[in-house]
Amino acid sequence: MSAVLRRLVAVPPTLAVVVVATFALTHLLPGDPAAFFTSSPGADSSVVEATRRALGLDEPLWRQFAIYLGRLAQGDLGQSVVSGRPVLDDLARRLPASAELTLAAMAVALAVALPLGARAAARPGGWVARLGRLVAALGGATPTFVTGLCLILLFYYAAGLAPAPFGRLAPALAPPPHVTGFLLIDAVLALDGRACLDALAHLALPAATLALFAAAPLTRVAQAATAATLASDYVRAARANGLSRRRIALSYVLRNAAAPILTTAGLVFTALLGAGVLVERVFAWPGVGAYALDALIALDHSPVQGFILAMATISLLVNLAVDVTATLIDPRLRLVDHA
Amino acid sequence: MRERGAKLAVGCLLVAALAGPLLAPYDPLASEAAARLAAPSLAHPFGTDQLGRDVLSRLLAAAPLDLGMALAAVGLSVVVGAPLGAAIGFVGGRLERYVARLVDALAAFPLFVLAMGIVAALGASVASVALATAAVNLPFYIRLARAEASVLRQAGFVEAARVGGSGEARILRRFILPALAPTLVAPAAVNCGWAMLNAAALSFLGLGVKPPTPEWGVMVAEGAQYVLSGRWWIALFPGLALTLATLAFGVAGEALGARLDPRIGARGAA
Repeated sequence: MSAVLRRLVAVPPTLAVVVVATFALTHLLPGDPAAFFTSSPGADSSVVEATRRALGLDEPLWRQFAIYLGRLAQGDLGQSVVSGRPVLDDLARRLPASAELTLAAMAVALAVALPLGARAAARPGGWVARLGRLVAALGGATPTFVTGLCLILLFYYAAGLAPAPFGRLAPALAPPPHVTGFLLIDAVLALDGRACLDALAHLALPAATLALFAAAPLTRVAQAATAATLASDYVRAARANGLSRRRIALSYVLRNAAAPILTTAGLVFTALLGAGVLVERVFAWPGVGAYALDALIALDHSPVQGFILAMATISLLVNLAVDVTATLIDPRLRLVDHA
Repeated sequence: MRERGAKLAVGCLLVAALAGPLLAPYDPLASEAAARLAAPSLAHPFGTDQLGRDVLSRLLAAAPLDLGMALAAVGLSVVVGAPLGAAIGFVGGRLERYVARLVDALAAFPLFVLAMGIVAALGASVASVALATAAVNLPFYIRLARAEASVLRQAGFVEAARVGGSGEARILRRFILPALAPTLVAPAAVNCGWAMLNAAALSFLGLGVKPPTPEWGVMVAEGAQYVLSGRWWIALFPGLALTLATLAFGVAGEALGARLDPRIGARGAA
């Protein structure tokens, strides 16, 4: 069985585990959804009882799970008590904000970490290598919520360069017409220069916060992977044969170092989904993380369930894509049995 | 050099964890209305918070809790995860392959999100923060112990023990598990820093430890809104404490690893 196929086969069982785990977890959450739906806690007990029956909460657990699965199959993630809307709609409306933040952070982190790590590996004693170690140590040891507050202090309070850390756009500006949900792209499409700059200014600090968090492991792995390839026999042979530095860097070092860096990037992306909740909290960013946190505090079960399921699914698919790409880049991975 | 730094780091952590509350100049819960939001000064080296409580005293009082939660969480996941992983790696075969794949799949699961759910399910308390952190940390140790036990399974001393008449359970308990310890110690020390940040993040979100209990994550959360108006000391001193403690755990873990693995030690000395 090819490595790619084996990887694909593992997805459905993992997803099944995720679905069962989310269901179990949300059923452990305290609070009574029926009492919630009847809005006033002091509602007549018969009303609460009727709601409970309507929600299917009087059924045995396995039947509730079957009902949940049936709804899930139809793309129904349930209803949010707090917003009064279907969870799927809420998540879809807020996902672009989180995606814009996460992808921007990932792009910045890769743009910083890869050259930094590669350069540090090429000159192990130089100042770039020292800078790389600093980024790796600080990014790994500073909680994202503290990084975010430091950046707010420096760039909003002290320097006055950044806008107030609330949301994605200044309240005075009208958001550009919704096309992709990514404000930067929508503003460009609408040829709205002011909105574009303002969205960029709002995005800068939270994205930088997440980027520092992501850059730490990426710098480390970029350095280690580049150092390993530079020390390899095939690079020495290529040098001895007089190949140009450019040729060696592009077709020998880059291609061999790409697979471990890609795999780490996939895991870093997963970690960003969690760290995003913290950063969305600090910058009042209207994303899915903030939504899930509000729901968790209000003991609103369906949004929590939907959020965990959505994050796990996104993460699984991204890591699947990453693994498959890594196998395509590096044929050696096809021979390795992961078990 | 590295060894000295590590000893210093561990020493600081120990002093903070054991004597932190005793060193606090003020009562960490006592509020002084006249000195609300006071900037760092001689009387209050780290300033005071929105209720006029001394930030330095709260910081020191929180040290045993933050470090204790980290150690408890890591201890719990080692105690559960290592024997579990070792047993699976020792038995081998199809079971090991399935578990290995499941644990690999869990690595692609946003663990912090899972921890949020677990804490909310268990209720906001110190114990549930430690439990949630330990739970999401479990795969890490299962994976480590499984991989190592899978190699040790074929070691000579295991064969010798079997010839000597030891049963499988006894071999696992008396020979495999102790042999795993060196592999686990260094990652566990580094992991303590991660666990501390995880616990503090849960409390920062308002899911874990509740105010007014002094805890670094809670303190950052309480001070966050005042950063906007330039009163940074309430949030950033506990934030700095988190960073320094995590760095200390990292340095300690690296030194332990170097000492236990002669190959790294030689490189470190050079």
